[in-house]
This record gives sequence, structure tokens and C-alpha cells, in this order.
Amino acid sequence: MIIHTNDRFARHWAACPGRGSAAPASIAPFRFTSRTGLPPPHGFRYKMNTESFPEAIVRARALALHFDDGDTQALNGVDLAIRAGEFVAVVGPSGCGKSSLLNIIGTLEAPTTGEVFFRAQPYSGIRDPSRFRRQHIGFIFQSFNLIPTLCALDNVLVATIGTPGTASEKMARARDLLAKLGLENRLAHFPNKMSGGERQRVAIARALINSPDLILADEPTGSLDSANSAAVLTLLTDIQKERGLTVIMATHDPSVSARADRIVAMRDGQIAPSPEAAP
Amino acid sequence: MNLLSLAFGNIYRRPARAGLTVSAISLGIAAVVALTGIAWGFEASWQKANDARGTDLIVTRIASENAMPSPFRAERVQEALKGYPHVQQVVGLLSEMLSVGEGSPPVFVFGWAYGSYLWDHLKLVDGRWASADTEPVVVIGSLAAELLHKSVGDRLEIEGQQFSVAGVFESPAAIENGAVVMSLTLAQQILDKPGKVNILNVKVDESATPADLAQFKSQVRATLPGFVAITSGELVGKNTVVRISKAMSHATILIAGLVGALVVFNTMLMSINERTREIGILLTVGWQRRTVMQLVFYESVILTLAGGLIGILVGIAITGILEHMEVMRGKIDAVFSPSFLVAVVGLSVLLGIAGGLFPALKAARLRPAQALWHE
Repeated sequence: MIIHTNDRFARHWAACPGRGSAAPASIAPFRFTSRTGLPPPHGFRYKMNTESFPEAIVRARALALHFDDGDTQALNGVDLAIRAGEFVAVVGPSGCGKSSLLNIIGTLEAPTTGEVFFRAQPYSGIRDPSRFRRQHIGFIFQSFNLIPTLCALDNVLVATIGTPGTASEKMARARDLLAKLGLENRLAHFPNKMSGGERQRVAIARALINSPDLILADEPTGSLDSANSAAVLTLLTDIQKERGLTVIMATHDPSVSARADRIVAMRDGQIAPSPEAAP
Repeated sequence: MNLLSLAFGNIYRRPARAGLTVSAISLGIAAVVALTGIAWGFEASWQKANDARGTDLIVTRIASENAMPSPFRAERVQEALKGYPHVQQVVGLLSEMLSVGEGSPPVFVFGWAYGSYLWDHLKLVDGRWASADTEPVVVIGSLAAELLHKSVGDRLEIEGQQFSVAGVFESPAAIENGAVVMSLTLAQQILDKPGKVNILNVKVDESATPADLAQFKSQVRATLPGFVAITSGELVGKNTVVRISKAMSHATILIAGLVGALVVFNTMLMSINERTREIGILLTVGWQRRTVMQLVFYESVILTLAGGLIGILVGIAITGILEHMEVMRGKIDAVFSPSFLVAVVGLSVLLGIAGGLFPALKAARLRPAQALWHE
């Protein structure tokens, strides 16, 4: 498996303390060279002292996903490692398996075979995927996936139901987040009264409200015009930098993937040899 | 925002469906409340009438299961009972529901032995009592006076015979307030049942213990074949009309329960199908499956609870209207005990849980990745 880096990632890699001046050209295959030293993420049933690739927040190994009919293979032997704080764009044509990969990393779907590790803890050890998602992952979708009967504020707050904290704390957090995203005057607006860019910003606020470690964005600009698309991307990259978030973004738009630290190309359910190979 | 406010919001945002569901449930609950209240009220009214007279035991035919047992010749039985230990009085009672005058609703006509203790609980509010056993006068309850538009001195035709209204009384029992009362002798004459009574009221002295009453009952069975001594409660319990009305109320509870649960089931299932994607979103943002189930249960229970509370009010209102209809006045006195109303509320909650169970399970079992793509 070959994972290509772009210039932005190379610069970021070089800027990291303790690194050499050059970013690695490829990271494969993974070798377990050290202990993570991190506590197990919330939602895991047991603590595993697995050694893993340093700094890999997410690592997928030999992922395969067959649909129920048995003939369709969405993923076929995907290996992937994502470092903490990375902004990775997964590119490829429609049906290449980008969304399936994100779904599996997001615990929305289980792979037919293979394993995903989050901070070296295997997903197969997750007792409560819902809790895991709530505590560690934020989702952003192309179609926004806001609840049409809830206003902007409630669409954000809905993700806090069942999380610790008082109602007033959650409310303050949601208001603050929406204000930072420039939606302080749109709190009571329903999705059908908002522009696509505003809706996506509400979705970003919802994804961030529980302070996740990882953002999974599936074609987040796919329904936006170029101006809104650029604005949302800038917002996403700024937040990623500010919070040190890890972002995995599926896209087929080269101008969008160009904003990422690193590009992973996919084709026919597999990681493609190079981004250029993916049409 | 919390789960409850979200559930309320989800219902509020679909007012037409929620309104229809609540209406259907409230109608079912109203039928349950009205029928049960009437059935219990019917039973309570008869028991209150018997209790108000101060009767300790009632002797009647074993086979009698009518609201008022079929008449029998009283003389031999009455004489025998007078010889039983602790017996103070044995008093005959004859009753029939009759039309008194054209266009008037039927009323109960009671014949009570003249000068017996049966009259003691009545409070005369106008006029006088009959001065002799055979004086052709009647006294009427305050409600009967209103229904029949009669007052003291007016004439009343009963079974072709003319009577004068001597007085108007009030009784603690609604049935008696709506009744016409005359001496037993007169009642036996106009009903053409000389020497016959429906029941014999037995009053025992104050020294009689429950054991003595039990002994009395055994003695009646042993010495008076075909007769039985029972309490007023037991008499009402034997009453076929009471039994039928209770059976009807139970059947209504069952039918309303089934229909209510099906209505909720249908509503929630439709709602879940329409909101598959929404549930997918909730699961994706980290809602646990049990939280999704809770939301569905909250919504279904809110619907049934609203239906139940409205149904109780509607049921009580319907019963009130029935009680005030001229043809029904004085004949039903519905009872709505707090425990019954609490049970109805409990039934409403149960309907919500039962009707919401499958939709809740279905919602909780959705796979988020598939649900998100549901159109």
C-alpha cells in the first residue's frame, strides 16, 4: 500500500517537533514499533496494550466489505493509517468505496473482514459503538443530514442528548459554536430557511459539539457552490488546525482535495497506487 | 433540549396525525370511562338504596337475578322469619318501573309496608306522609316531582288508578329520589299482586353479630327451601343488569385497549418509516439504541396519555349528559372513583408502551449507514 503525501503535509510533517526535515514519501507497511502510552478510548470494553504505528489515530488493516448480495465488493483489502492531527482527503470516483471506508472508520458499518484500530484499540473491542461515536467522531455529510423539524440550535443540541453536562452548559456550548461559525443570527432558523453553506456550518457545529478527535466528512462541499464550498473548506481547515483535529474527507473534487495535508486515492474498493491513477 | 422536549416537539410538528391519534384514543377511553362509570354507578345506586333503608339482610328467591327479584307470596316466609333470633322487623317491598301519566318518563314505583322502618330514612321536604295504609296517596322523590312536573296536591295516574301526591321527600339514594313511593298494600293492589313482595327486608337488633347474621343465612337455607338471605351487596351482585353492564364495560375496555394500541402502533410505525433517515442521523451522532427506543416510547406514551386524559374528561362529560337526559334522570348515578381514573391513566400508558413497542424496536434496530440513505 502506498500513501502519497502532498506538499502541505510535507510542510506540516517537517514542522512537527522532533521530526526530520523531510516527510516520508510513503508509510507502508505498518510496523508496531512502540507502545502508544495513551489510555484506551472511551467505549472500549477492555484495555489492549497493542503496539502500533506511532501517532496513528486510525489504522485500517485488510478491510473488506461485501454487500448482502455477496457479489458486490465495496472494499477489498484496504490498509490505511491516519496520524493524529492530519487532514486526509480520500479521493476517487463514485462507487470506489470512499463512503464505505468512512462508514467503517465511523463505526456506522462493520467490515466483512479486516480490522480498524483507534489509537491502537481494535474496533472489534468496542462494546458500545454509539458511545464511541459520540465521544470520538464527528460526521459531516454532503446532504447536511440536518433534522428538518429542528432549528439550527436544536440540530446541534440533539447530538448532546445523553452526554454528560447540564442543559445550560450544552446550550452555551452550542450557541458559542454556532456564533463562531457565523450563525449567531440563525439559531432559530429551520434548515429549509437556510442556505446550503449555512446548513453545512450547522452540520459542522453538530459534528464539533461533543469535542471529537476525528471528523469524517463525506463530500462536505458536494452540494455547495464554489464560494460556499471554499468558505466551508476554509472553516474546516481552520478548525482542524485550531483544535488539532484529525479530518478524513471523502471527495472527488481535486480543488477540494488540494486543501488536505495528504491525499489517499481509491479505485475499485482498493487504495490506488497513486492519486493520479484515480480518474 | 432533552429527550422529552424532543418527543413533544416531534408530536407537535405533526399536528394532524397527532390530533387524529389522540382523538381515536380519547374516544375509546371515553367509552370505557362512561360505560364503566355507569355500570358501577348502577350497582352503587342500588346498593345505596338498599343500605339507606337500614336493612341488614334481604330474603328473596334463590333464582331471582333481576334488578328487583320476581315477586313471591310473603306471608308464610315473613312469619317464619319473625321467629328467628335477633329479628326486629321483617318488611315487604314491592317495586315496578311504570309510566305515570302520558308523556312522562318511566319511574320506579315502590310499595313499602306502611309504618315500617323503610320510611325512616326519607326526609319530607313538602306536604305530609300517608295517614293510613289504604289512603290513596303517594309521596314522590324531589327528582320525580321535577320529572313528572308534580307537586303536593296534584293528581297522579298509576296503572289506571288516581292518586294524590301527599308529599315530596328527599333520599340519600338517587334511585329513590326519582321514585314514587306508596304503601305496600296499595302497590299490591295496583300491580295486581296481592300478598306478594319482591324482597323481604330484615332488620336485626343491635346485639346481632356477624356470626349471628351468618347463622341467620344458614337457617333460611335450611328451613325455607327456595329462599336465600343475602346482604344488599350480594343482591346487587346477583343482579343480571349489573352483571351485563359490568361485562359490557369490561368488553369495552378490551376493545378500546386493542383499538387504542393498534392506532398507536400504526401511527408510530408510520412515523418511524417516515423518519428513518432522521433516526439514522441520531444514531450517527451517537445516540444509543435505547435512547432511540426511549424517544419512540415517549412519543407513543405522550399520545396515549393525552388521549387518556381527554378521554376521561369526555367520558365524564358524556355520562353527565346522559344523567341529565329526562329519560335517564334518577336511574343512573355514575361513579368515577379516583382509583378507577388512575387505572384509566395507567391503561393509557400501557397502550402507549404496547403500541410503541414494535415501532421502537424497529427504530432501534436500524443500521445507521442504511438509514442515512433512506429516502
